[in-house]
Amino acid sequence: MTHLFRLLFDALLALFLGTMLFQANQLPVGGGVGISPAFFPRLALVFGLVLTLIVLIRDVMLFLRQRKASTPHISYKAVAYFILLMAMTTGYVVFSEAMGFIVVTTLFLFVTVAGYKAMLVGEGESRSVWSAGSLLSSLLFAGGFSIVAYVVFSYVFKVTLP
Amino acid sequence: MSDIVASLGILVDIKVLLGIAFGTFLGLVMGALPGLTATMAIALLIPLTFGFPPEVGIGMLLGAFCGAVAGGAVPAILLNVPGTPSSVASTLDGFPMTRRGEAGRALGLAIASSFVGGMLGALLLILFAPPIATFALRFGPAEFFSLAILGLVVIAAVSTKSILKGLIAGGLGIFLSTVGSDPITGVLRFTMGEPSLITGVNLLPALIGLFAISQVFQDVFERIYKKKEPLKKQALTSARPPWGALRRAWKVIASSTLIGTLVGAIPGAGGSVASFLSYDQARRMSKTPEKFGTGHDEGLIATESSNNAMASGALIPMLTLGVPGEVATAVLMGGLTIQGIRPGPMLFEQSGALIYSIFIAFLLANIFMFLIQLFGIKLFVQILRVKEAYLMPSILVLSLLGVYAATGNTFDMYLALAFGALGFLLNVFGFGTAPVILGLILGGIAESNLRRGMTVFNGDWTRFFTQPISLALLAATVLLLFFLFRKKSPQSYGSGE
Repeated sequence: MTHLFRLLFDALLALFLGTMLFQANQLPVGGGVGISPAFFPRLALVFGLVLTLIVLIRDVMLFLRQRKASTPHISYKAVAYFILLMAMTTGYVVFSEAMGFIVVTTLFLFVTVAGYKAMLVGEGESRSVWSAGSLLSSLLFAGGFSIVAYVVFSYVFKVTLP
Repeated sequence: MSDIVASLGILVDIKVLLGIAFGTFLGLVMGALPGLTATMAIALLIPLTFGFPPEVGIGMLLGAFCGAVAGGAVPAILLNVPGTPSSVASTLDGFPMTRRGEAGRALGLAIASSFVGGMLGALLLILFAPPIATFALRFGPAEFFSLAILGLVVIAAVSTKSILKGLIAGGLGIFLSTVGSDPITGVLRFTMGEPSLITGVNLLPALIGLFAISQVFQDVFERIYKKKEPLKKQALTSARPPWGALRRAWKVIASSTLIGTLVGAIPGAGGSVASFLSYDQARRMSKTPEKFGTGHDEGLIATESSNNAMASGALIPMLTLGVPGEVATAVLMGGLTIQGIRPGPMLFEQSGALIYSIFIAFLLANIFMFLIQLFGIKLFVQILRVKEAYLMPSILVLSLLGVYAATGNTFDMYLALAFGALGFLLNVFGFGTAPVILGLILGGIAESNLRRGMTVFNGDWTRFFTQPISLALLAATVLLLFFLFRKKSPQSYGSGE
């Protein structure tokens, strides 16, 4: 993981905690011996924010010291698949109600399984992943899994799926 | 006594028995697959437990925990790839035995040692848990507050490489526990106008997201930087336990079980520590220490009996004090909480029969684990051939489907996805996910007891430091932090990658 991404994450986390702390300060403050509903979240957020800032400062120092560190070997196929997987998973959640469980699950599994196989070429996956046989096995798995999952959840667990 | 008699009913309840067997089987499968852990097995099972009575659901979860710890030995012995962190030490003598052509004997030894260690550990759990819980009945709001803080600090400090980052993740979890309607004043906190958040952050999507979805993302992400070696095919006909070898190593089993249970009961110590300590102790006790590491029976017996005893020990602080000592029991506690069971001393006081049902279920899980592995070892060897290309996307679907099935709310699927992304980032940048979930569970306990205590003590906060047990717990927290900061190098405070 490059130092820059680490710094970016630290900064975003600090920003998030700071924003939430600002929101916590808008909560009503109670009186008397009881503790207000704002007290505990404020405590957690101040604690988290202070420690995040310490980590951020340490990481900045580390970044300045190790800027010239060599870049590790990156598999661009894995990067592409990672982005595809994130996008497909988000799409799966967004479209599951509109498209229905079986269709969206089959589509999701077919694309992600075929994509995974493509990523693994050269790492034990020797067959051509774009051959008709390989694509058919991915499609059969995707369809079969979706139908079995639908039947199990609908009829065994009595869950109404989208 | 009546509680024990009442709990014996589960022995003849076919639903409970099937639930434990199913959970154990799933745990064994997940444990046998390198990269999938006991934590993920429990997290994926939780949604399925909703439709069952608590005894069945708890049995499934305990079975998964027990099975996953034992299942890790299969790839450790056959492929030199530990299925779970606690089976790392089993590669030392297990894999050399496989290379000598004794894979069946090694697996037989591992299966039998896991069973004996697990059963003895479960008996120690039954012996020690009730007196600890009885002592904990003296706890009031100050003690529970201090205990929650100790639990959080322990898991934050030891579950990640960086203490500071673990504590940040714990703070984040505490903050998330405050989302929703304030239970005392009814004030809405951080709901951002979303009605589904009024009752707070649902624990299930958080668990599934942080421990199942994030794991899949991370597994794929790791391929960006390093190649994974393809698993080699293995053939095996049987795995008959060599009972004679086990009888001869009774001293090793006794010491390893004791070490496993004790280390498991110490919050944060974990399975790999227990198995390496037991391994080292067995070598010291051995007449042939030079054979350790070359495929020696005693080495494998020590690590495997210790592993499963550790699982029993880890249940002690979780059940008696409501403070899980490591990640898998933190998730298990989340699963119990979702079932409406709040682990802690009051559970022993109010639901004695349920506690003994848990004990019996754990003993049964060990028996099922032994039988399933003994007769199904060929299947577990086949499981190693399952292609990741099919496995990882299927886990994603099952995770999201499980959340939807349990809650019937699409918002919770978004929540699980968000927690998955959060968990992935936290893991990649060295913050860890266990402190978040523990913060989410213990944050509510800490806040409610802090507020209750302040009311009871008429606003005198110094009482949290003057009650003896509370003071001892807070002192233990400070001491732990002090020693951990001293032990770890300065660099590890910041970067936890």
